[in-house]
Amino acid sequence: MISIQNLQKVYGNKVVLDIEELYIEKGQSIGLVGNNGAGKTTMFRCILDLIQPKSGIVKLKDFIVSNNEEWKEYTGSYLDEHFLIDFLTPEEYFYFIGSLYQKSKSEIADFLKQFFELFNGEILNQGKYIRDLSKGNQKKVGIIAALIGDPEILILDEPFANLDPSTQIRLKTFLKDLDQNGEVTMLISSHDLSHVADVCGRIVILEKGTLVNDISTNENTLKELEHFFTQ
Amino acid sequence: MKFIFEHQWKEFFRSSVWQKNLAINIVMALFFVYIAANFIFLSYMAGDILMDLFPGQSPIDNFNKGIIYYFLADIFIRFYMQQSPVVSIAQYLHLPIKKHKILNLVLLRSGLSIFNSSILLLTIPFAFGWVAEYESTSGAVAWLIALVSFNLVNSYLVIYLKKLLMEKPYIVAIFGLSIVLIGILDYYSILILTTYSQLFFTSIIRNEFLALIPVVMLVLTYFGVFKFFKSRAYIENLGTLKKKDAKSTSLEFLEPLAEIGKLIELELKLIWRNKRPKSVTIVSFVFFLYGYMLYPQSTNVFMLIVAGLMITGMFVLNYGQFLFSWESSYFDLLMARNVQIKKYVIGKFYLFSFITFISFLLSLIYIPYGIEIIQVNLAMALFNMGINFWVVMYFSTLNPKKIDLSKSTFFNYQGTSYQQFIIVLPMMGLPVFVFAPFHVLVSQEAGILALAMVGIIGILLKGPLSKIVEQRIITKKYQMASNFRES
Repeated sequence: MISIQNLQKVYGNKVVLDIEELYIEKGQSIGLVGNNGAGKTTMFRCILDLIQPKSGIVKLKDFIVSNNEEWKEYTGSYLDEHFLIDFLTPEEYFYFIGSLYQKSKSEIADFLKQFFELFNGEILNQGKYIRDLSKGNQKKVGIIAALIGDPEILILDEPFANLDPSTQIRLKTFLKDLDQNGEVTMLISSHDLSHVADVCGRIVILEKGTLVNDISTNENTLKELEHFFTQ
Repeated sequence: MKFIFEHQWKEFFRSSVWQKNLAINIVMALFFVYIAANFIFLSYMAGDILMDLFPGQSPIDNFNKGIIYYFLADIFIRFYMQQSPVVSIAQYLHLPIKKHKILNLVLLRSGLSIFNSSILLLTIPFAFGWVAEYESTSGAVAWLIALVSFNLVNSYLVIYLKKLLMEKPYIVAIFGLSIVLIGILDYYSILILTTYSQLFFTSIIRNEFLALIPVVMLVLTYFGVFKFFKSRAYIENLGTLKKKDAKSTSLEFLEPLAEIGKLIELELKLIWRNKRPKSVTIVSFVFFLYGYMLYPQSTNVFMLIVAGLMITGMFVLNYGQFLFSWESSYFDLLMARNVQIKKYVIGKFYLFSFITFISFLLSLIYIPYGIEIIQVNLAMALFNMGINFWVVMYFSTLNPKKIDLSKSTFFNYQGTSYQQFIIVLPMMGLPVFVFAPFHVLVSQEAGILALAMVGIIGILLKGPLSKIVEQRIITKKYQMASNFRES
């Protein structure tokens, strides 16, 4: 579903990303962990063709991302607030994203119903533009919008950061269910080791731009991860 | 306490525009020097000019007559351009510094702004060249003190009014209306402002102690404003947190255009809901009145073409020069989610064509100045749609910078780079380039027709032309996105 080969990104003479190979099967969910500056966001931006790598290719399904736009039809993503249109209300924003995937307003309204709890009454019908929402609520809007259009590939950068505890748990449950269905291939980064160990079946550790570890999750994973990061 | 000055100084010089764009800084500096030189020169020459205009009358009296208009206009200009300094205290409120101290400093500091220095440039040469010469030096000094005081009264009054606008807009409206009313009464000579103005300021020159009146007014205004803000020195009152009743809307008439319609709707909301694009658009339409200045005087066909370009293309030029920058805060979204770049380009084409068409319809009010004007404007509208739009689209990808949509337009050159100059050149040059050969070799009508035809060809070729722009966006998108992510 996702394949990365010889991907290298360089700023000045500093190599910030250098991944020889990474293949992700359909339905797998990958947790990407690493300290600040490890290259997580850079990797996401390369995958979404927002920055140009020095060398290497990224394929989403069968398409090389830099060569065409087809991959956008089945890829949902939320990296940061540059994915929000802050002068729209959340509803308008969801409808807009929906229209990009030929979803009607009523389809989107139906889709949003399942997130009633997650929204906690603070998102819809609040008479606020996205720019006037709190950081946490902005993030909720972005993550839910990433799910619009039945993506086959879902890419989220730090989805748990800035969220309140209830929402973190609800989001985790939701992503786990999504993973169980096996329809969506997920790529999620997080600083919260227990969350990724919980949600993702496979965990990849990035350090200074390179892949240093690739493990399938089991009951000892969290310990392993904690050990790795306290070395 | 001098750290506040230090911080403001750093804030100014470390803002990204200052740091990155030396060329524009130099141009702006030269511009300010030029304006300052003009003011000084004007003030220096004012006596002679007034002598020429009103022979046999005292130029000092006439100068004093005009002062009242200056101050009334000053209030309005400040109301639009002056930024509230009080917002900047928000970041100090949690620190162990006495509130009244910070507030005093910030208010005093705002009195020293560059705006307020212009009054000195405008009056000192006159004060010492004329008032001191023909009246007395002490009179000239008292006169200057009075003018500077009134100027500062205006400055603090506007800070107060702008804040009041958020709380009790009707009071500000009444204030504005009463000034307009005074203006009307003056216009019909029911209330002759100039007489009072002259009487007052001339008295100050003769009896220096009368200058105490404006000084006392200044002190009262200052403490009034101080007291007003002291009770409001909480973050929620400073305008940094805003709550508005936002309504979700959708433009049903764009429904048939599907995704393209949604993209147009998004851009219309961008314009309507954000300060800077909104004022750029309004200014574009104000420019429309340019015709009233030009048409009565000139029938030179080249001038008509320039006027036609401006009148039907001001939006393309003014808004279009920042085309991608407007969307800098969500450019990543447009590139990473399912927005087809082709539809994105076509959406912009429809929007710009529509606004150009509206501008042309509005320009029909110039019919009384001759049918020829309408012909030229129609040709230029077509040219703007078919050629200039694509020029703007293409060159806007050169080096667009990030723009903060919520900032005001005045003296705001965030987002400006060499790109703007490069866009303007072909926009202005191409019409002349098309028109001139036909005009010289065949006839003026043929030239106008050629402009229209070239425009129509551009419109008909929208498929291939949009393909070129699309390719251009695809190759430039990485640089644009990285420019926009920079803070």
